[in-house]
Amino acid sequence: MLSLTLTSPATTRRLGRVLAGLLEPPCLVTIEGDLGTGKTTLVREILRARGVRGAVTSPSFTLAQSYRGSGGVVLHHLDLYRLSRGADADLFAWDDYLGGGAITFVEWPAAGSEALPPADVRLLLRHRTVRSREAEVHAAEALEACVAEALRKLGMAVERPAGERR
Amino acid sequence: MTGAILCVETSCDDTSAAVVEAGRVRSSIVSSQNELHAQFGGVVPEVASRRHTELLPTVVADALDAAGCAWDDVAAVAVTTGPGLIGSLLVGLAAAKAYAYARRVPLIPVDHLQGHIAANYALGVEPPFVCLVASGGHTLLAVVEVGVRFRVAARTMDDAAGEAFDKGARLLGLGYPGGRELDELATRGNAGYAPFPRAVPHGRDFSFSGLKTALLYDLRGRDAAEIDVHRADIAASYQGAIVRQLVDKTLACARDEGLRRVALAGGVAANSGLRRSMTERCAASGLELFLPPLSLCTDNAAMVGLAAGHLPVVPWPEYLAIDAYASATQAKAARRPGVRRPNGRRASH
Repeated sequence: MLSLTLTSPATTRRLGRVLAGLLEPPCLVTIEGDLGTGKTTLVREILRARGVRGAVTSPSFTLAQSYRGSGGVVLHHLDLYRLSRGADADLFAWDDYLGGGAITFVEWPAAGSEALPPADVRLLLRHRTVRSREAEVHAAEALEACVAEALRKLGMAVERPAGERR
Repeated sequence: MTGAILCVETSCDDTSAAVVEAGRVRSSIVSSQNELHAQFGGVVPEVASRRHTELLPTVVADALDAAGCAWDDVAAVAVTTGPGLIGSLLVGLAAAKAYAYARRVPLIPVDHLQGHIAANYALGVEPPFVCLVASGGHTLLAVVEVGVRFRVAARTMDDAAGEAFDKGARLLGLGYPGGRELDELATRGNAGYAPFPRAVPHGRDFSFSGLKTALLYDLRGRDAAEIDVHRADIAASYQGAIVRQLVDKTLACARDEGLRRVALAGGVAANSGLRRSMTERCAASGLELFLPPLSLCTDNAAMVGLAAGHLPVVPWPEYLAIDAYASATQAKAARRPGVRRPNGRRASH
């Protein structure tokens, strides 16, 4: 686990660019956090960095939006907010959005916890002050190390709790 | 296009059908799934699709009945092909293709946004005009040049305005989606009570995600008793900030584009604060305002027929290749036969 403080929306976007450079399809990324913690901001920056042009808006209403990035990589952006109150998530067409060489981002993943395979990357965002957020990145050891190194090169302080180091 | 157009709209959770002839709405039936989805706190796509399948035949029969129209009078079938929930769209599109095939009449595919804009043709608006299209899934300024052909002059960079209302309602403890409850509560409150940011970045474009966060932190800074007493005031302040941005940017667009006519469309156009403010500000600026009745603002099939009158008809068998699309970015692929959508599902032909 990596933990870091995002001191502004700009640092949230910086984390997005770092992650974008390290994600390899097929890949499932879940993003947890309350309303207003910057989940969509983070995903938008990753999509931009992967070459998605045009508007990247919140998929809360449509539940899923699909994009094509550079190199033809398919990127799905899901938001299960509207399913988050015990809806019958079994009915959602998960297979359309998982695997198949795509990178899939899922906001509010709790409603899909039964249907979703374990995430390759789990991102947690928490409110700290009006502008700043606490972030956690959970991923495989090697990927976490790469993310930490890339963030430190950008001058961001990253903590890796000793107990978590394998 | 002469003769009666049978219209079908199933882009989200309302099943609707209408008969429109020569730009006149002869009937419009909307069967809302609101109660069904309230128990889930939102629209569940696959549940919505199944309900459309069950409801559509009845809704279509009701629309024909209400118009005093027989199947033999139907000269074309118009249907929304996107953007929207893909499963819901596919139900309406498959049904429309079947109706067209059975009656040997052409099909008219209609974009949902063009439909919303065309609702204003029921009021006799003449292009060019600027149309604010605001709903749960869309927020944009369309410059309508001729018919339903439009150019996007501004769009939201993050959340849609309707989403800002619905999520704000949830933060205020009004349930989700609660845009309508928020509007009702706001009418009893003082819009000057809580300060929300006036300046909005992104130039001509809209942004509502920062307002949502500002509401969250405003509420966090108050104790529960204060929120209870002033919930209506906070709701009015928050709604005022959303409305101010919508009106400011719409009027700025009209000014920049040199347009004297302003129109509203989409579910958010039913918001009383927006209707009042837009009416006052347009009057003050000498702009002519078109406010469709509430029944033509929220999703309905009559608007599909009003748009269809301005669009080309697609004959058999070409219309079999028409696909539905979830988002505007996928619209082009859906119009090209044989191109698969990224999510791999297709309309059944």
